[in-house]
Amino acid sequence: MWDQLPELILTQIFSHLGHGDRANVAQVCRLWNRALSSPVLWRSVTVFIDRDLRGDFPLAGELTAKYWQHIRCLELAWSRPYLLPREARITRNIQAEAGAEFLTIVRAKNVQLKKLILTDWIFICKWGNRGKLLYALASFLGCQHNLETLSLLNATLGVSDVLRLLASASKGSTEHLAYLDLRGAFREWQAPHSNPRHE
Amino acid sequence: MPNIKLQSSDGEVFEVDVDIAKCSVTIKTMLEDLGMDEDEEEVVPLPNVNSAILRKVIQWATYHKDDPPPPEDDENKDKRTDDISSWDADFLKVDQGTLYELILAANYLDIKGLLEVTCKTVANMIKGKTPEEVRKTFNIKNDFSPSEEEQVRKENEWCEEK
Repeated sequence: MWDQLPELILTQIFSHLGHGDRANVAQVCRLWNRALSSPVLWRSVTVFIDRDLRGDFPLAGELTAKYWQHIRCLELAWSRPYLLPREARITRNIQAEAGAEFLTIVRAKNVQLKKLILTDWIFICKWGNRGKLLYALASFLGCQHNLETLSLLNATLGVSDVLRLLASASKGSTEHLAYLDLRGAFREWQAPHSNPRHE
Repeated sequence: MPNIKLQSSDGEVFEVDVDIAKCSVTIKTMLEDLGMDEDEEEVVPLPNVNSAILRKVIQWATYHKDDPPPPEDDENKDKRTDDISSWDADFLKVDQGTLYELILAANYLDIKGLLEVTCKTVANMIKGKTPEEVRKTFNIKNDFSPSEEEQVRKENEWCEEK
């Protein structure tokens, strides 16, 4: 019965599943495995830098190998943005490095996005590989020639970081970039008067 | 409101308000193509839907007749599955066979909202289960050869939650 559903219907069912459940579904039977490689399912992907890129870079490898040609909308997010700075520094450094490496691979594959969303990039203080990650992100943006939407919603980055990203994006996608969401992009924006630099 | 008659695969005839029947794109197109709008004596045959399922579908369509049309934009479709209304959740408290038939009927009749909510229900039944548990839940036979299974397992290690 369920192993005979038309692939289009299976695709619609699987569209409601996240990475983990999709991995399990792929192992159920041949038909389900095949239905899972439908381009529609991979058009829009969310990657949590601190959760999905652990270990030996498996997600990046697998995504780039199998599904990248389908991806048009990528959300790069942090699942737990508010870790205690002192505690998290080493972990964060490893995660940022993984993120930077991921972006490098994706860039090398010449993935062309229509939409990039950065969610909860809350960098309260400067720490080691943060710069490396932002540099990789800027280089990636510089190679995006079809980008239409860039969202830095609640990215809470420093002014110079945001400006560098915007410069790369506009350089890469001169003709197509049509929509920018900068709500919450600047960490100084929300409360300029409580910031010592503005007093 | 004019009514039309729908005939299920097992021959039962249902009288339905035209506007309710037209939430099925298949029926709507059929009526327009055949110019059957005005003729109340005409019976629309639905050879792929039995009477038990057609009764459920009409019940669903009647409750949802005033819903706004579903958005066309598929690219930004929501992955959420926790937004099934309590009426729909009650409506879909059925055995797996009925759920399966409802999905096929929604697909054949092209009723987007019903297909969406039935697919979400199935997705919820899959969530958090291992491949073996999924097979057990849906009574699916593992048709991978041992080497294929190993291959597929390796391929999918990347996204397993630890």
